[in-house]
Amino acid sequence: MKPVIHLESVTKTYHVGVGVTALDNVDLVVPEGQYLAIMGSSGSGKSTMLNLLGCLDRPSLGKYYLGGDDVSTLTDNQLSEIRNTRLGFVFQSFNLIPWMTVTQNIEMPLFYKGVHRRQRRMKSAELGEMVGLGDRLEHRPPQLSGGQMQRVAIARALSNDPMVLLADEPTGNLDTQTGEEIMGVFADLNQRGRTILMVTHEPPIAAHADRVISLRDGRVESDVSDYYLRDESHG
Amino acid sequence: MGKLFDIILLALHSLSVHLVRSALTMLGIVFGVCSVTAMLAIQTGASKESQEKLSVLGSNNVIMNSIEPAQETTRDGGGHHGMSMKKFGITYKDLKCIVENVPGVLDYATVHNVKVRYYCPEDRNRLSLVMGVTPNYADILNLRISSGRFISAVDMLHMKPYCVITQTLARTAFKCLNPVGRTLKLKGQPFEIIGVIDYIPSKLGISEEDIPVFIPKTTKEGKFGQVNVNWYDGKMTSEDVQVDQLILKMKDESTVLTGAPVVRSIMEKNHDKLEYAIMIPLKLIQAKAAQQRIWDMIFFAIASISLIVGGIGIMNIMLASVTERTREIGVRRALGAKKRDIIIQFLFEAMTMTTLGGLIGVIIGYFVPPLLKDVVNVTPIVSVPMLIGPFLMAVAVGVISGLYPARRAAALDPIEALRHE
Ligand SMILES: Nc1ncnc2c1ncn2[C@@H]1O[C@H](COP(=O)(O)OP(=O)(O)OP(=O)(O)O)[C@@H](O)[C@H]1O
Ligand SMILES: [Mg+2]
Repeated sequence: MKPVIHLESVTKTYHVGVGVTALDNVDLVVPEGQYLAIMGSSGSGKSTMLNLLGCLDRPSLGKYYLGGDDVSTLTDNQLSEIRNTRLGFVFQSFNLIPWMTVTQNIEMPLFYKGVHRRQRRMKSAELGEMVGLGDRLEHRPPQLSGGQMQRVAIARALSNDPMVLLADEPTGNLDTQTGEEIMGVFADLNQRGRTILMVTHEPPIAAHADRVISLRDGRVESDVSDYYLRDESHG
Repeated sequence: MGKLFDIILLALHSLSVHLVRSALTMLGIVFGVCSVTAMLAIQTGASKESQEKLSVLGSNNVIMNSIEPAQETTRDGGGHHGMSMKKFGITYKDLKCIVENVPGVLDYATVHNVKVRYYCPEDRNRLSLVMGVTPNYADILNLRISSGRFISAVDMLHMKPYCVITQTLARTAFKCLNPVGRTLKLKGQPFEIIGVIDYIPSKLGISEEDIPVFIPKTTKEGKFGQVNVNWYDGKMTSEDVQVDQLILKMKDESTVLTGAPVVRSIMEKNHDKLEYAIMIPLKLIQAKAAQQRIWDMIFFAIASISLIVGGIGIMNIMLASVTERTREIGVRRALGAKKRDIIIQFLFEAMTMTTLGGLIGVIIGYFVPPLLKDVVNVTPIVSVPMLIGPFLMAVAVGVISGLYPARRAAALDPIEALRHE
């Protein structure tokens, strides 16, 4: 299968007094349609990796190919465009804009893409419907529950029809049952062919993925494909 | 283009969500703009009023007044017992010399004063300054006649007992604005009022307090004589002044400037004492205009400070807003907003506040100055540049005070902004 994501010896170093190597010579190939979970202990480099994959940051060394294009040396403006057209983000703390309605939140990527207002409204209504919030479109985030807010965030991440859906601890702020509901939405999306990269430190959550990689001190410690982990976690 | 419009709508939306804060921030600009406009309007009104009062004196005129010399010696006075005779001031000989030798004199008017008691039923017995004048006096000084007419050549020829009074006297003595046709007694002699003039230009050397009354020059000489005799403290004094005031009308402003020194040198030759004063309204007008320009600038600077203060307020609020909305900025950046998009959004929020504030300020600035008329004692004049200028200043203040916070917002690192609590 064609790789959507290809990291080639990617290193990320932070220079705060002494240099911290958050990612150390990482190689990763993610084929289209894969559901990948990234695990690891705190400080192992999960967020750093997701930020790089999300084009919010550039590698210090190495190459990053997204959809076949080298995005490791793009300018700030070009990175904005890549994020806008190829990537969808789901955050642990939802990150919705509290003073805007559900529809306005969902359509934000399309807003910056320059899509016409009417088309945006149609698309966001459709996506809101899809995540089960058809009757909450004119509500504002503070009026919603955590699960509902995360659904809005997922709808928002999908509005630009991204190549990859990136999620950093998407269930971290939710109770177990709501977390499972969100995982249901993810599974559904993956079933329909969406490539998903998810950071989590909860094995039951990671168990929803096809493939799980574990990071340790910025290196890929293990790379396990499918059922093995799931079987183990289910006992 | 569509996107720019969308971002502008977004900025408006965000302002409307924080309505109270936006309104309070805007208030600074409203006051700033409205005070600039009001100050300019009041200043322009005051300026125009004083220019008008001065121009009544005529920029083409040279005005000469007789004044009593400092020492009490007399030029040519013989004194009988208990009586002193003062003889001083501008003479007919001076007039003849000036008219013959100064180039550019088109016309002249002479004034001959006498102080007498006037009498009318409503306001009896006060001292009034009766001025015998030539008929061209009102024309040369551009006096405004509010009712009736001024003294004519025929009145002069027939030594008519007619008089022209001021509005102030009409109000105090007759309790009406148009006492034309009624009678005023001057030193017991009846004079018919034929006209009322608006006001006496203050720089002329006489004030409304003197209660000036104008009568034909010939009538003055016929009824009161040329020498003014006064009883004071049981002593009789008399003053012999041939011409109390001489007003020269010159061809144009340049002959005023060339002629005035000639007039001065003639007077210096004819008189060895300073018993006359020469006044050149043109110079007063020019000095006044220069002074006015300085005041204009001072007023403008003071008013601008309030706009600057408003701008600082906006910048302050925008900086606070950027900090408060750091996470929003991070989200927008993550979802594809370019730095430019963030700048436009925040800049437009600032500009909307100042533009709207400027607009409201201009509207208030248009309607408020006329209400201040009685407070500041001038009629403020509002003109279009006075409204557009401060408005554009407000827009500029928006750009200046919005740019820094907007750039700060755009410069935030998306990852850090997203982590911001
Ligand atoms: N902006 C930064 N400046 C300096 N060091 C950083 C920065 N961001 C991350 N690091 C360091 O890089 C390493 C990896 O951090 P990262 O946030 O990727 O960990 P993580 O796996 O996401 O941990 P957690 O599970 O706690 O979120 C850590 O040692 C961290 O201190
Ligand atoms: Mg993390």
